[in-house]
Amino acid sequence: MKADRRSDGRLLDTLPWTLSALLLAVIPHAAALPAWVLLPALGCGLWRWVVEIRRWPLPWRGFRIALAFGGFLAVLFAYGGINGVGPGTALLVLMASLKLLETRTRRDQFVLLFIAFFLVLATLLREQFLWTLPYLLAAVFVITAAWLNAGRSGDALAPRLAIRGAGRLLLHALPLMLVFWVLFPRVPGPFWAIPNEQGSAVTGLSDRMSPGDITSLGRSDALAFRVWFDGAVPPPAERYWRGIVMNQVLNGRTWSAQEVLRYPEAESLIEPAGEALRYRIRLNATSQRYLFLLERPYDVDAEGAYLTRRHEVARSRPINRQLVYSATSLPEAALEPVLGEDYRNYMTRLPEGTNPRTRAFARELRARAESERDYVRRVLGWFREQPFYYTLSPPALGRDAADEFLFSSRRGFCEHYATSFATLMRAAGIPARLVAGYQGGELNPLETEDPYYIVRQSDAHAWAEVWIEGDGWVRVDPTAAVAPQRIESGLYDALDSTEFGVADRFWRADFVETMRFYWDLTNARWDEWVLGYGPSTQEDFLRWLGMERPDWRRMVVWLVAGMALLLAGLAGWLAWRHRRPGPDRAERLYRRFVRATGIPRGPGEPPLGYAERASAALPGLAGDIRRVTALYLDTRYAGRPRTDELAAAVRPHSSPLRGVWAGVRARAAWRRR
Amino acid sequence: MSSSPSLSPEALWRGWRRPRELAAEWAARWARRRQGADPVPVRLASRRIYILPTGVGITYGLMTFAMLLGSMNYNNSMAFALTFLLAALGLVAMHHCHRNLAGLTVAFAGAEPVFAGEEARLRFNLTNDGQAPRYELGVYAGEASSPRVDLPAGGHAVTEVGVPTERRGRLRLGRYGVRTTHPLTLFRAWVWIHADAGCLVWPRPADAPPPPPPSAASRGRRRASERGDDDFAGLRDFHAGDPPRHVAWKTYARTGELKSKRFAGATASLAWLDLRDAPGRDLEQRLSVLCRWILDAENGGRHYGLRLGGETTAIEPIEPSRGSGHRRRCLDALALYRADEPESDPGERP
Repeated sequence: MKADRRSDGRLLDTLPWTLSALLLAVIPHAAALPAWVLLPALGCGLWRWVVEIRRWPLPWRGFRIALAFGGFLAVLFAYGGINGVGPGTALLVLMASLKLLETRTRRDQFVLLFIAFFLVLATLLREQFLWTLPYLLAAVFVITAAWLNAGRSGDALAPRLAIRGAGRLLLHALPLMLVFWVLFPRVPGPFWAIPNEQGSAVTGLSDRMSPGDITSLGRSDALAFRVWFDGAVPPPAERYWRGIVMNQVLNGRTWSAQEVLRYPEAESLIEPAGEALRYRIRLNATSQRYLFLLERPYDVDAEGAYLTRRHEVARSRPINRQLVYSATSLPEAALEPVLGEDYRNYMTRLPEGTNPRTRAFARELRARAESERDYVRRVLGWFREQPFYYTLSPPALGRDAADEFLFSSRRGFCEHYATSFATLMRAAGIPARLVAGYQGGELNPLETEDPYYIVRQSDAHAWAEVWIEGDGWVRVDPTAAVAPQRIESGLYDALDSTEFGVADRFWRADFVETMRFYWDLTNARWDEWVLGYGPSTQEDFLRWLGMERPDWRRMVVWLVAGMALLLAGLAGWLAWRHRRPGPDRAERLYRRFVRATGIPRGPGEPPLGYAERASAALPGLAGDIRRVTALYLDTRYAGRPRTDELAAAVRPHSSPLRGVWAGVRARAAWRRR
Repeated sequence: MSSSPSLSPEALWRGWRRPRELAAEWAARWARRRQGADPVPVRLASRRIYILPTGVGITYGLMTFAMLLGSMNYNNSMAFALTFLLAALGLVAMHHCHRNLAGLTVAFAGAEPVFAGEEARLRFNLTNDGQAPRYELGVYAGEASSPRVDLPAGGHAVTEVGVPTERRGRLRLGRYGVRTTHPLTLFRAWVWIHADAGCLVWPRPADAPPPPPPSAASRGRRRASERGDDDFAGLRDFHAGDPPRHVAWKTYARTGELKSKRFAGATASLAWLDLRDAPGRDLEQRLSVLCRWILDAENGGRHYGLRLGGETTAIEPIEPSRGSGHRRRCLDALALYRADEPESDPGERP
């Protein structure tokens, strides 16, 4: 029994391939996997290798079953289910580790390699950046090489041969893959529910805000979204990308959004007026449910999007991958000019006992103001006059954040100004709410045909909305009062140069900037044409390729035709590669000469015998015949190659055209033999 | 396999359990009708190569299909890319697998006779006259298969198939084949070759039979047949295996005919082994006994002759002699004695 479990060293030469294939498949998941999955997996791999070298026995079957069961339960409890990429990956990695414990034969390795393929798939479901394509090719390449060896019955192929073999298979597969990829009909929409889950860790805005939250995004160069305008482009100071509206004050420092419900009457909150702005946005995954749009969105074309009571645009499911939507906004339209009493009261609520100094100040200032409008003006003026300082590294604030910020620290980023401003408004009885979104956007100067604007995480911004009788909700940005450059030309210009380190300065250098624009352009194309290759992009692309009215039937016909063509080409290439060697040059020259003499040579007639016979028939040629025969025999049989002399001797006797024809026939005759 | 199908439960159960083998058998017969008998050596043309997915290949197909469903559900371009790459890889592997066999030259290269119950080692010559290497080629015959060999461009190899034998007689395969699963084990390509291959199967030597009766020497026609090494008793035709020192070289030099010298010697070391003396329930058992007697006589260094035809002259007796050639001639005679019906030759049946 024990002898049965002993490894016999037969996997010594193939196991390294399998283990590296598995490792390559697991690496991209390393950050997302818990240590209790990752460490045992690495341990199992290492241990299995030592087992093979030392010929140790593999573990007992009952032990393995217990481990498998335990691992399954652990995943079930840790993730609360086995659906989705996260738990699926953990389960696959555990399965692979346990399979390693019972891998004895060459063919057992196939199971491991199947798991490796699924792990690669899981990586692609998780990440879709540009690097995934080279990763995909590299991973499939290594797995294929390992696969090639796992199928061997004898010794593993030499590494050079395994690499060449896998490379050749992959190279032949790539054109087919491309045809499949372009022509396989894409069908919109999921067929069954995709489990709600976070993709990779996403930086970005959340539906809760305390002072300091946006500050952390200020240095992030990550892309938030790209915008293509159709027609007029609003000036930088008007590019407010409204996203999350927070109207609940939880305590002295935190504002929060309420539940994001569909509000059926939301359409009637605005009355269409003024110029319309049309644009298309490609939003990166946020793992939130909000879409970012210019103010007063009027018409949004996005899958499953709806308006909420606060005129946000949201979806019922988190945005876990790129989302493309086009929209129309009417920035000049009034939002909710009539506000119900209840809602109005709700919008002026502040938690009891918070920020007492701010409230007292607000009451005092409101008493001096003539109207609500005047009060807003006075508050903004106060911000401007007092020594407020706009900075990316503000001091941490305590429980009554507005009090601390307004009357002692006075150093803050946009959310400090926005939250304290909104608090000042509510304290004076004016309905106010906090808005989180992005402000600005940078044109990519390298794209001239279809220009687009880049909005980065560092463009994240917070501002306030106050409700004024007659005007409805009005945007007020207190940051603009303190640091107008932030709004006009972006964060970098608004901040003091001492805020930036060497690294920031490096990133802003001209040539680096250009490189970054190129990089972004590449990514934009990638996102548009590769990741975004869905039903509509496919239709556009195929039309561009020359297919009239692309529909799935036509695509299938093209697909089958393309595949047949490529496979026929492959079959032809393979046949050519395996062809038998034709007659060599000396043989061809000799045959050409024989043909030129006009005296046929009998099958298998020895050259010397033929020479004798031919010389007797053609005495005039006897010298040439002797010479050509000698050269031919020297080259063929004496190991003294004199092919060039032979060619020179044959040349006067053969016309070029006859030579070609003779060559073809000689080849054919050789084949028939 | 049986030409007279019986409907016994065992047969039904066997038929149910092995539908694959039955299908393979049917397909092989179909191929026999389609291809006809093959000249040897056979150069494998594309059109006679058959290919089907293996178990691994079917699993691979299911995996790719599952990935396709996943990609469509998530509408994920990169997942599509992986799925299509794997599908393409499978198709490409199919063509490579097919090409790995096409153009290969196969020939049966003989086999040594064996005793029934032993494994006949049939040798096959595989020649790759193409300009690309071939990998993982295995010859198979029925259930038996050879170890797999790699052939470099222009290379050739001899590989052996161990075919188990049960009955003495002439082992004739009538059908064998070459197969490969290279490169990715997703597909198995194979050919059926309908050409003779086989060897003689000697009877299984009986375990400890009674010794040949001493009277055996005195029975039958008493010719000058008790021969030893002592006195020259004339010439006879040369048979393969006769010891070179018995060859009449002078006669050969004079006439060009190979003759062996016969000697008359001590009767004690001489025996006629006669089928009629061998005990046993049936012919096969008696041949087994004869086989054992021949081996014992050879090992004991005695001269022995073999008489299968009794008094009739239908089968010439083998004159007493000894040596490996003589032993082989006697054993071959045992193997072929009334063994006209081929042991198993499904390919040859109409």
